[in-house]
Amino acid sequence: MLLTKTQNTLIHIIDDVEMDLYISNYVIERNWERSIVQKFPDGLQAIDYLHQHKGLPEKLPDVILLDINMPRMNGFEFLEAFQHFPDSVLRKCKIFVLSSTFDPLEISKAQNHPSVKSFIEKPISLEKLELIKRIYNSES
Amino acid sequence: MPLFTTWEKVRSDIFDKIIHQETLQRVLDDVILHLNREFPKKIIGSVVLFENETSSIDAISAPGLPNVSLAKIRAILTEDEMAFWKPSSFNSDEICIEDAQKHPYWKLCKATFESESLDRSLTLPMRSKSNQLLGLMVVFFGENNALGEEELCFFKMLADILTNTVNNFHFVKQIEAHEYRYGLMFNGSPIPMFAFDLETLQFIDVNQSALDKYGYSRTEFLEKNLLDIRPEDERNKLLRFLKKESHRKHAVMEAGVWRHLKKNGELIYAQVSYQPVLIDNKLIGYVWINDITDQIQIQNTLSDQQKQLVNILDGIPEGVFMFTASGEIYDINPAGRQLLEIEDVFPIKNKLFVDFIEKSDREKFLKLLNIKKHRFKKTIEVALVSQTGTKRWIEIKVTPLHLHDDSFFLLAMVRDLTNEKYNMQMLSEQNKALIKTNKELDRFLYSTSHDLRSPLASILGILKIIETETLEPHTMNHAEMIKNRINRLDHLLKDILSLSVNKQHEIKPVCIDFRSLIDETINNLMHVETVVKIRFESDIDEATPFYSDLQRIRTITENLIGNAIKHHNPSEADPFVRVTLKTFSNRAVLSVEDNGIGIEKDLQKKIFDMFFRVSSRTDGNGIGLYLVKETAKNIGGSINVKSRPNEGSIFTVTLKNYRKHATY
Repeated sequence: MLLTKTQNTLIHIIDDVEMDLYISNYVIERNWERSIVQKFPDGLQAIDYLHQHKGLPEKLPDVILLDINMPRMNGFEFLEAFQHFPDSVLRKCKIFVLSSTFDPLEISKAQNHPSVKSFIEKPISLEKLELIKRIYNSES
Repeated sequence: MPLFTTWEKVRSDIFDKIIHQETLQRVLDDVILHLNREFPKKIIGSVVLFENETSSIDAISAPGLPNVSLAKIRAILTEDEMAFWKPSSFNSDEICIEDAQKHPYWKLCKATFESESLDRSLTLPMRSKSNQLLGLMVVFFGENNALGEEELCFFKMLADILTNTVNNFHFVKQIEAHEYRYGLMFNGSPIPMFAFDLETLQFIDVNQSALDKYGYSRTEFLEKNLLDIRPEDERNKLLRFLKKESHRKHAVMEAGVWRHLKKNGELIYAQVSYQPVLIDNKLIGYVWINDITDQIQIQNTLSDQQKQLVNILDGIPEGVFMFTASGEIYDINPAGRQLLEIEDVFPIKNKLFVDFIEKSDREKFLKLLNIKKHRFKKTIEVALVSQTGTKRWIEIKVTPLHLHDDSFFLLAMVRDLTNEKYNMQMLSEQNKALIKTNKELDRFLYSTSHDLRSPLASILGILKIIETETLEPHTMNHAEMIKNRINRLDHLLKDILSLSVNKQHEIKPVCIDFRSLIDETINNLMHVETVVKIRFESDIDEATPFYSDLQRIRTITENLIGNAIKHHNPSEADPFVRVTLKTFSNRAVLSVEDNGIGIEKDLQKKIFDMFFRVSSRTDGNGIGLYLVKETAKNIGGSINVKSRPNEGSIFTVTLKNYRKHATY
């Protein structure tokens, strides 16, 4: 853990909208030092990645920005699948839901999910990124 | 028996017979028969009456002789023998014929005369006061039983009595009848009676009951005639009636029902009994009447009611069936015949109605027929199959019908439900379709607002990047303009989504912390720069825990407070928004007051309508208040507004406390 802190922060952005991936990436690259961003167009590919790397802690993401509304596997389905990973994975990956939804049910469902650190309303901004950083740092 | 007693007996018998209005033949027969039996010696008597001295025989009474009848004597007697009866033969007071064989009866009754040893006869003439020969009394006796002086005298006296009887018979009888009626029946009778002259129709007598009935005094009545107590239109009918020959016979007859006129002009229905009687060569009509006006009126009323009933039955749209207790068809009204598609009841009379009911429903109907056991009305729905096979849904209500003659029927009111059923079915199908459409619309709203929100967020994201990076003031300005429009659109989408959320999501009551909810709402709105100068006040009393759906309550408070801010009066020196809340065990009352621009009276009702906007210049999408009203309604609340233009508005929402349903 101490090692990772000195190393780069690996950030996964899971979103089916190309432009949103771009925005998140753009904001993170410029405002989060020593961060590495990996982009996934849906939950399924992100889960596949976690499967492949669950035994390699250095390859696991530190932060996951998860969209809700996606094809193939949406955010909630991803969370469901994520639950079944080993504790080491659950502990390492801090998940933030980043969505444009304003359905109060979806918001509260995301907020109350045990694996979710916080619900962030799109679009991401500098202030919101600072909030994510703060939470991430306090949890690590 | 002494002769005197016999004589007395004969005389009283005659009187008795006359009183009882026996015919003369019968009176004579009885007298002779009595004499034959009671006379001390063996005799057989007979009487022959002549017709007006023309020497033809009018009547013979000889009950002791076998089969003696007028017709027989006339047929058998020769000319010579007939001459024996000629009145001219009887000049003397009495004739005693020694040899009975010379008597005309001998030939007819030879055997009787011989076996009874009646070989002699005594003939006594019966003369009127004017010495006219009316007839003969003949007594046959035997030689061995020759009549003594006393007995001869007896027969003479008897002949006198018979002569008197014959002489006065008609007169006596009429007087008797007249006096009988008069004395016993007329004056004291409770039945109204009067007598009139059949020639002149003038009244000649009237009893008290009749005077009471018609309302005249005796003098007044006797001045009138038969026509005067009739209504104009019945007078000719009466005259025709009186002309009929049959009505002049001396017998009581029922003359039927007539309308009579009382003195006061009232009409009565009189059942008239009538008897003409000849008194002193004058035909007198005796009339006694029975006032049946009441009965006639009851009858008329009854038949009017019957007519009305028939009219009703013919006219009503319901089928009315009359069954016997065992369910046989007795009668059907036109609407009922239409249901069965028959022209006439006759062909199916006595058929069982149950045969017209769909097989699966028959048991249901037969149970209904058991109505005697439970007399209340009962209704069932069954399928009816008409004569031509058309199936209809009907409703039957059966009522037992006890008639006064103890007969028992079932009266069934039948209503055609076919159209109703069809309409109901259509309605429920349409309803289902509507519900489906509505759901689809809500889903559409939900997913569309969602889908629209996603690109908006992307645009906002890019805008934020531009805002942070640009050094160009114009670009910054342009980005700000785009952001304002995007925010407006974003707000609209949020409202639309809330509408569908309001309908789709179930109510989850939680304990509401109004204070932080309202503070949070105000804080969120503080970012808008115009808000800075608005003064916020809140007076919150939530001592009683209040439970409701948090999201919906938030929708309401956000919109109301947002509106108050949006519509504040820019020229007002001290603009304020005051939020007041008080919770109760069953409700909470929230009011949001401002001193803003206010709302015109006639617009106040419309502001809660969807897409209503006070003017195109006002900032808003026309959904906010509609959303508040619908949301409040959805969680058992209501909203009203008090407002005056340029003074301000107070929106007051009353919300239901879901305390008992609270989940946590």
